[in-house]
Amino acid sequence: MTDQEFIAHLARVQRTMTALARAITGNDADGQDALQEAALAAYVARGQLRSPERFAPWFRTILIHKCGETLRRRRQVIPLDAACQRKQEATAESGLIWMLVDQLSPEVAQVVVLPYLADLPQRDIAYVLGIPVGTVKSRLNRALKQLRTMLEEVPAKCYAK
Amino acid sequence: MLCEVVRSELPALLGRELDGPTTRTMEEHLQVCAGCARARVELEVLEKRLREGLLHAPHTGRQHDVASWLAEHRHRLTPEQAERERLWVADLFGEPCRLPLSRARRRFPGMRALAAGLVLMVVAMANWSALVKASAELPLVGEFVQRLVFTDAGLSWAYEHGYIQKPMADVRAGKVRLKILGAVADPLQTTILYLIDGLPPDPWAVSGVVPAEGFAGWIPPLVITGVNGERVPFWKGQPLVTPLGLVGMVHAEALPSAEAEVTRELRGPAATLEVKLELSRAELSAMSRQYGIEYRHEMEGVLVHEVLVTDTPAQLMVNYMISGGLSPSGIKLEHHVPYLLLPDGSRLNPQHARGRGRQDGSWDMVLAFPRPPDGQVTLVMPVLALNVPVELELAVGNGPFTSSVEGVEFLVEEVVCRDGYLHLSYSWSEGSPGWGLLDWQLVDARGGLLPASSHHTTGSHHDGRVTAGERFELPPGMTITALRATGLQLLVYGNWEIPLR
Repeated sequence: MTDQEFIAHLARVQRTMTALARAITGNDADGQDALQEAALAAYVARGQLRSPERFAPWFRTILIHKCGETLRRRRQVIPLDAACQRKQEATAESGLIWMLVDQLSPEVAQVVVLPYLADLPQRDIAYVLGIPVGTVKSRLNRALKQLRTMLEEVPAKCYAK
Repeated sequence: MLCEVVRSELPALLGRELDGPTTRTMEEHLQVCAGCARARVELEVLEKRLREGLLHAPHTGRQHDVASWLAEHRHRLTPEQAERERLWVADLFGEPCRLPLSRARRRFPGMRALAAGLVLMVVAMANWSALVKASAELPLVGEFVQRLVFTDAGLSWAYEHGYIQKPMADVRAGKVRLKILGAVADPLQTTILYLIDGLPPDPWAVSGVVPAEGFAGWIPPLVITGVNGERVPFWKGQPLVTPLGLVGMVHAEALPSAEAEVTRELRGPAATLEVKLELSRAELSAMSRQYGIEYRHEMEGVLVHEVLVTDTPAQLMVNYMISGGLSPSGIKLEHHVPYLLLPDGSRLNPQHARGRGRQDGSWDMVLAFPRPPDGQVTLVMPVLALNVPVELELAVGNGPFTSSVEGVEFLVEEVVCRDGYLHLSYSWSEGSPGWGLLDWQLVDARGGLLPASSHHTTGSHHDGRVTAGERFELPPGMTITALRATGLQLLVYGNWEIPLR
């Protein structure tokens, strides 16, 4: 894979990966750091990717682990601007879902995004976040309950595509 | 299966992350429970909405253009950074991770293999017998650990549900290494699985290691402390001696508060080890229920009452009191073990039973069973053993002879002193109301009495008779003329039946 091909692949997935990194780390700054670290690591190791069509899942794996490293370094220190990030305007279904996920606490939001956006099983989520599987289960159940309540309170037709 | 447990596992079920038996059990429950079936449908709808919604991240106006950033910064990477990242990614995807070679080794690549081969050869020649032994025994280590995990319903459940994945603690000092392989804290008890290896031949070199009665090895003490510093009582099990070290299990009382710490220290000239482990029973408590049962049944002065049931996802535990006319050494559950009677007539034996004497002479008992399926369950205790005071003296050197006490006839095969021990072998009829002698004393040549603790060696059944053996360590230089039993266990057939749910 040439440099240009790699950067083109990265540009195609960067929006979703930015959102994923932000959801795992809980804020824009750490998400951006993790994304940059993942981009550099993937860039120097691009020769190891045998099938370019598998770029997205390959890069996602690297990103998730870089986010895990960031979390271990930071250990739940939430910056002051975290609250400001939650003032998004929901204009469509995806916007609504992301807005509601942003309203969850960072540690609860992580366990929603990782299975449903990154397709990670609970054991892998536990490994990445450095918490027991039981904690993943309880956080996920709590998150789903909160999301269900929030979705019931918001009239879905207001956010129809 | 409890509805709360099923609903908490629904995401894992829909994600096909559960094993076959758990999936089948859950599917069976979902077919008969309308509430859980509805919860599953609702979760499927919610998950579909989440997957589709999360897939397309909205523009937020703060989108970070990482592709442009990389195009600008990729040339600023140092070769060392690039190599480190490349190896990190290779390791992440399971490819062999190669360390960078020095310039000399790059020039002579064969030298590294040759040097490694020479080192291996020297090590192998020096430890040949140990290597042969290890290669024969090492494959058993995993089985030992697994066997221990699956003998305990709590640990087994935790293992199957991913609570035990890797050692929770792994500390080393010198050659001594301590691993906490897993721990489960539920509303009624705490179970900890540990492994210790590298203990020196002289156990006193590590002063934290205490000898275990009747066991050739050494059991490490372990301290469980609540958040306010309360010590939690525990029962040490006999550890297994495996090629990797001692693998053992500790059952302790419930944590005094939702959170607690486990500390473990081994101190001595050979090693100083300390491990701290944070435990919580909050999660399993949320999935469990506890309720009392009104029950009082007395038979021949033995009263069973105050029954408390704790129903956890893994175990059914029954806590009850026994009181009335007991000697301080109390009642022991022996050959006629209690069991759970299930609706289909089958029986479930307890995994462990323990009792604690109280000042008023009563006993606080706990029986733990693997969790039975939903439905009616009855605890059946066909018989309890009552300890009554007796006085029975057996002269050393005589035998075989018969001796009776409280209507129970014993056939004494031998009472002999040899190799610094006094050996007793005796038997009684299986149909007899007695169930063995206990609370022993040694009688010296001047008629003096010395309390004696025995190693109970046998308890076999042949031709309608029960044979028991006892072995007493003799004080050096003392002549023992007789052995004296001051306790007799009498069986009380009360057939205590307690409907638990």
